[in-house]
Amino acid sequence: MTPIQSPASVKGALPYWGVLCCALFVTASVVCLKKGVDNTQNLLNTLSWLEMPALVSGWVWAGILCFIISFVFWLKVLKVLPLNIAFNLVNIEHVFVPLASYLFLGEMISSMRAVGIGIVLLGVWVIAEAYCRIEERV
Amino acid sequence: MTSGFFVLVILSQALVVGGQIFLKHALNSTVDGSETSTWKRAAPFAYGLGLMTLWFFLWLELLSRVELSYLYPFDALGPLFMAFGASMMLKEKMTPRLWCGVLLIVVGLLIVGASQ
Repeated sequence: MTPIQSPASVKGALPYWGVLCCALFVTASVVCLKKGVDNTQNLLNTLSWLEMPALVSGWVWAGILCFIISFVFWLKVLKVLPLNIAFNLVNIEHVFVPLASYLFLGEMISSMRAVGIGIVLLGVWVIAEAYCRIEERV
Repeated sequence: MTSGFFVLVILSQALVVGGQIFLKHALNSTVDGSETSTWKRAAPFAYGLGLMTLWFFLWLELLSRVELSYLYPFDALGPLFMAFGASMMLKEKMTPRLWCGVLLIVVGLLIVGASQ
């Protein structure tokens, strides 16, 4: 990312930070939610949605809070970027989430899974770079 | 995995894409400065939020059944749905480069999904 020099580049940098913050909070959110539903799994019956036992867990509330924060960032990003580009850039979360699953939930990342994550990262980069070029022309 | 599980996963993706399209539609009509009334903007925003809320609870249910890192790759369908949805409903341009990125992401996510 280029250093901030002019108002135009400040405006240009915002979507990237927005996307990054959004993806990080989504990651935090899903990790919290997973911890929450794991804790309450024995109570969680498919047909008992009206009782909402999962909402009892503090992890679930933390997850919801993170999700709302990520949503605020998402709205800021969406105002600036076309939906198609924003939606694909935020796919960077598919890199963060398995990493977080590994770090915080003790789930394993096999080498094949790591390759898949790498390809996702490549795809996000291809789109981000394409958007940079459009932006430079404007 | 049962076919019911896949139906739910696809439904959740459809909810995401529909919700996002409504949200973007609402924000678009804010940005272009036209004389759209606040209520006209609020309606698609509310629809978007509604669909996202439905998606959230459906996703929470799916999450309670399987591992997070197993469930997440099914979002691979999302970018594809979104590519068609956004270009049809919002008239957004799909450049070859964008398709390229979308396909890379989808392939990557499918590999993650197929991995153990």
